[in-house]
Amino acid sequence: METTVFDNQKKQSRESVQTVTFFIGPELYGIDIRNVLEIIKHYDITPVPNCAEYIEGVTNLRGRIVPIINMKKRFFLEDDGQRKEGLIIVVESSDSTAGLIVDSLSKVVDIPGEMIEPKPDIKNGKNSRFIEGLGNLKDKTVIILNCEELLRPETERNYQ
Amino acid sequence: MSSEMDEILQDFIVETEEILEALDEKFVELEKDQSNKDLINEIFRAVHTIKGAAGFLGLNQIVDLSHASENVLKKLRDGLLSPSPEITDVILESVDKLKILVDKVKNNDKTPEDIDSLLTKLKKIEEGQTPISEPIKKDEIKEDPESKVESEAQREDKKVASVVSSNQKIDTALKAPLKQDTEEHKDKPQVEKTIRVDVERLDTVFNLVGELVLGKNRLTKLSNVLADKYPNDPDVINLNEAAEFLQLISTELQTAVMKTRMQPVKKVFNRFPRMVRDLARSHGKEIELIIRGEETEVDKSVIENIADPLVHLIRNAIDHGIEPPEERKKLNKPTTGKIILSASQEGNNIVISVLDDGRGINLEKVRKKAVEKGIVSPEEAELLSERELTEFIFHPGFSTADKVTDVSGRGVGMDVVKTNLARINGSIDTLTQQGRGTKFTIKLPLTLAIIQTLMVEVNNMVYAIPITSVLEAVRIDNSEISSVDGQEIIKLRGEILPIVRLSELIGFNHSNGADSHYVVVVQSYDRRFGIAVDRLVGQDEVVIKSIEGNIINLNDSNIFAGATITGEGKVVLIIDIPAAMEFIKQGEAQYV
Repeated sequence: METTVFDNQKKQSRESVQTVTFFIGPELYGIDIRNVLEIIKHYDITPVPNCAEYIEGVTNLRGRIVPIINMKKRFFLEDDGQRKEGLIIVVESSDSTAGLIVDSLSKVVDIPGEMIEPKPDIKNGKNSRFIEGLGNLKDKTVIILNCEELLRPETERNYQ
Repeated sequence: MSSEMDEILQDFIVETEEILEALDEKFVELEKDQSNKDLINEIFRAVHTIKGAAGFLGLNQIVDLSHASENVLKKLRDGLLSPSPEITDVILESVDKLKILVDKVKNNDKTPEDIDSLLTKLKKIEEGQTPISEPIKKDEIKEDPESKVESEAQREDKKVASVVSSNQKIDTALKAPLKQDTEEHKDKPQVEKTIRVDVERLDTVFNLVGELVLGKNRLTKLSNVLADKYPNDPDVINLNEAAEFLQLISTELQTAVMKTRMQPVKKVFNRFPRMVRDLARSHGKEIELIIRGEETEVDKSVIENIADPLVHLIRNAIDHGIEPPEERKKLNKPTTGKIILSASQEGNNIVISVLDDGRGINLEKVRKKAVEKGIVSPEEAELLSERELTEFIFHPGFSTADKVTDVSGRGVGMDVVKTNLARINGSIDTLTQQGRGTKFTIKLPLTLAIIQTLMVEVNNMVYAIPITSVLEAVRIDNSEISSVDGQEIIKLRGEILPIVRLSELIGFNHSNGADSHYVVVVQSYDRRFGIAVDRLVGQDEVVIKSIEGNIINLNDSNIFAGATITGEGKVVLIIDIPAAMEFIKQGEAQYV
């Protein structure tokens, strides 16, 4: 198909997804920037006993009490407690807000729509519900996360 | 007119105008969905509420008109009349008329409005002469729009008239000395100058004020540091003064914003003495109303929602509960019946109770009625417990009263009570004993209420204990704690007090093994126990906040009643004392 550069860019900007990318362990993940409220550096987490293991606690976000999710534990990974940067990405879903502890922040990238693949059909992957799709960048793949699912509690699993 | 009466009247005007406004919308809906029983029921309740309120204010025309409309609506609700546009027209006309009547009250216009023709129309409909089925009705249909136009025209006239009269007023005011003018104003009950603000917006303001306080704290700290460094620098002294001023203002701002949401229940309770007196008199009963805890503060949304339920409960107590004096004499009861209305903060709830020493609910009658109404089969009815039976009184259309009075007996009241309470996550509990009386206990969550808390520390974490449950705090030595059958106890002034360690309650491993502890003695219902903590931090007034989203559900923890943010911006969890008591009961709090 013959398209001018201009047209191409236009098409891209229409379909591409601005994605905030970050590392959890060695993996690069991304969240649609429209779901990202802010990134906080200084925070004070109050632990909440007796709730899901991946809940690190809660913090005060300008008068709102926001749960903080330990992404490693959310993904059933080992958490060595080391935080490279100790950043929290505050994300919003349709009915909730939460902070996500990530290892380190990468950059905001434009992933063109055609470079996003639907999530692979992983058989009963524990984490597959959190994955929205895969974004192919030049040199690497970004796992694009589904915020709605991330902020939704397990129904079948009881806290404790 | 006393200022108290004035206030009640103003409340009535504001409320009734709101209800009538909402009715317009409901009628539009009903037009689309004629068979919607719920909608008819809602309209019916609204009219019932207006009637009740107007009744004790002595606004007879409003009472008469709403009573007549209510009769028609009741038949519609019960399916004795089928809805038709003609009926809706007449009811709409009544609503319009009610608006005119309320306007008159507002303008202190005491001239009676012509409602007779409307009353006759309503009566005819009620008696089953539906406009369609009878030839007379044809005339009436013709008449209807005309009279409507007429009333419309009348209203126009009135508007013009009022414009004229206000013009005159301006004229006279211009001519007359100022004094007269102010006197003229005094005559009118001035409608409260309020605006309605979404609670969410208030929350936003409240949160931002909290942030402002944090910013102020940081600034104060910084200016103190500078003051230490450069004690004689005039700029630093100035900065200090500015910071102090900011502190003063922000503290006041915080209180002011908090107050915008909180109101003493007095605002609702105020109207009851008069209502009880009037109703008691009209029923030939002697009743004393005792009000307790009217200074208890609740959130505005709570105030708005408890008024109606309380009116219904108190009316029921007067009408069904308290016996006439002669009957009471025979029963060896004091001739004057008692109704106790009380409010208090209990743990994490606001509890409002209405207690009467009347005849109680006749549960056998309830059982019969439930069978009659086809809610349960006779066999099922026999198996129902007392508690289950009392639940029936909250069923729509359920009433054990034999006759319909202007006060109660239509079976509207109690289901309104329940729906209104459910809206604010409240519950109602009924305790009745035949011949002795009935006690309704309403429990409301404190979601938005401000509470005083005692901040305590354990394992370097701070937690809040609602101070309403706290009796005292004592310092004890580890050696004073002994264990009986796995339950840790201390002796406090000769009395044995079971204790639970906060660290265990929360689920941390055993605490730091300090030699001495503080024990916060708390009370829940009628049981006392101690909570052992490492340190007392202080007392703080906090607002209970919810945690965003539903990924953390504090109810699941059974230990926390909520969370709050302290002045320093830290999130602190609030301990649920009744839940902590459960912990002791289960005997889980064992010495590890």
